[in-house]
Amino acid sequence: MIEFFTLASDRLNLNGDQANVFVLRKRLDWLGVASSVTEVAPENFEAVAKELVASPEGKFVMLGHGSKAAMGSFAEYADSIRSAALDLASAGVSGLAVGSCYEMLCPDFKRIERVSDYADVEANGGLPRTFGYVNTDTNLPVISLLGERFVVTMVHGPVFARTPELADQMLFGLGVSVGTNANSVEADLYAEGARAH
Amino acid sequence: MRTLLALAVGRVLRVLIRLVRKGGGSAFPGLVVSKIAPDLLAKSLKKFSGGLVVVTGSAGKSTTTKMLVSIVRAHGLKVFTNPSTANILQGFFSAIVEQASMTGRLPGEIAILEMDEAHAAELTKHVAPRQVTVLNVMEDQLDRFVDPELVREDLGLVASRATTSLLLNADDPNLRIMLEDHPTEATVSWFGVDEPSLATERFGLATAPVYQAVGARPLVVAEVRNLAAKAFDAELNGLGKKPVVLPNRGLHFAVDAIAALQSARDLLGPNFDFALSAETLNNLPPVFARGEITEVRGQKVEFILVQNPGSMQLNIDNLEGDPEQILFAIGKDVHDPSWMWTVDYSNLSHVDVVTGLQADQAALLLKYHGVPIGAVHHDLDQAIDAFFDLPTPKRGHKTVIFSADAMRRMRRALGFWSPEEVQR
Repeated sequence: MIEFFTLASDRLNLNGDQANVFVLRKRLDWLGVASSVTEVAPENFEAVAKELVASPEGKFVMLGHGSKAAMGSFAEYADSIRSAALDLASAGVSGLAVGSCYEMLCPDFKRIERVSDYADVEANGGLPRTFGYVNTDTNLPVISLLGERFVVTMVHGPVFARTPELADQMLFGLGVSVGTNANSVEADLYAEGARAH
Repeated sequence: MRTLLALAVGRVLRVLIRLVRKGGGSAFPGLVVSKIAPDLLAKSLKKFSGGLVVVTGSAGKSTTTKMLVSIVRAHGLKVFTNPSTANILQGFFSAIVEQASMTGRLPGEIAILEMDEAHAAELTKHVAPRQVTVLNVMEDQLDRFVDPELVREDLGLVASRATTSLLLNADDPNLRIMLEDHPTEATVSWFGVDEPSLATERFGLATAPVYQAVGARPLVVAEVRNLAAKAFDAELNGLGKKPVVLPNRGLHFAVDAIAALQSARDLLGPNFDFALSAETLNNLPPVFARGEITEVRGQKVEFILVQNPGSMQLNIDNLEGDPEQILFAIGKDVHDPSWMWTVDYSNLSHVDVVTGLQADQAALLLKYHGVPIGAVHHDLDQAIDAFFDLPTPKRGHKTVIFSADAMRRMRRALGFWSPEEVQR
């Protein structure tokens, strides 16, 4: 059983980032691996994170991008969420933080001219080359790793669907025996087409 | 002199483009004119004796503007307006190329224009609108607008520049915040929808959430009541109720209609005739691609336009009777289809043909959502042929779900040459 924990998915889904949990679960389903998803409210994130640090295997944490209004709605918990999420990354918990939550975790950045376009970027830390849509006005790396398995990125939307190599790397990190199947072959062909296009 | 030169160049370009691209419009002549005479647009709009009326917001601009123009024309006024979706500065310049005299004068006593949010903020810096109607703020075109708060900011600038009247949707909390941030000296009035009517759609008006406490819903002077499919009662404060039957079903059409009615009332003042206005709405032809069923190649087809998460969800939810044959076309206007992943596709049983410049992205989305796909065709002509070669459905009609760019390309491919054929 792979367990997903997602912070305020109703608020942190401005560009469809929650689809990444959906995509990983679908790929697990195609492999015959069960999964569950737990919604985490901002005020509970710190407590949930402590439990995950104690038992990180097979756990994935999702922090999507939210509007200014959405981020403002839990600003009082931002410090505790940042601290807890960094603890999760250090403990080897798998995860993904996108856009505004990436900024929250890595606040030492500068504002630059906005980029809003597709990108196919080399990633560091052993991550595969990543394709997706970048929309940012920060100088933060487009995609990077915190710890061993916690991805932070400015590539928003369904990055795991568009870069299935990244999805499978995340699943491998969750202890899943990753293999191809008819469904993933078909999906990955469409992803390849989107990338080529 | 510069005006004369710009218009002459624009018109020559327009003729040349039409010679090589039958049925296809182009923004290029307008773009050239805007470079030669950048102040021509503002100068032309200032020449209307009745002033400028702006309809803006994330969604519903085209429909509301068409309704408002129809009502005002029914009252005998000569109105200049822009074609549907030609609502950015280049589009306005194109309209000048097509319709202005060589001195830059446009026909009509009053200009009623639908305007893109950002372009409206720019244009109204140079021409103060007499009246502004703001419909809503949605999570829409985020690759361009980034954040709903920034859209609200643009709309606030436009609204604050209204010189006489400002009309706002009382059921969108964004607009209450907007008004607080951008006060105006114009008279403000609110339109809205009663609760039972709002409840007719799963996600209501699907405006951008504000995640903060806002003041109570303002008192409305115009309200949609008792909405049922295409019919509702329009209630205008002090004038009572009139039944309205819209050309298309849906909550959003009703909101557009009540916004148009109140906008016309504010504009026309004591000359406003409620009965005539309601009758005008009742006689409007269906808007293309909003649930209208058309005959193509001897087969009945329903064209459905999707432009943002709200309209996609609404249309997927409202698919009637599990359509037997579906074509799904997403074009280049959906630059980043990420938003499409926020929609629930459980009511979409299958898609026969996927096409459009974003065909692979669309197929990827459908695959993960468990929607069986018949075929993916990158070439639109091939996709259309494959779809219309399918035998006539045993029940119902063929269904085409497309984005605006795919709609325009399909229009040309199917031989709809006149813009009016697809706008009205």
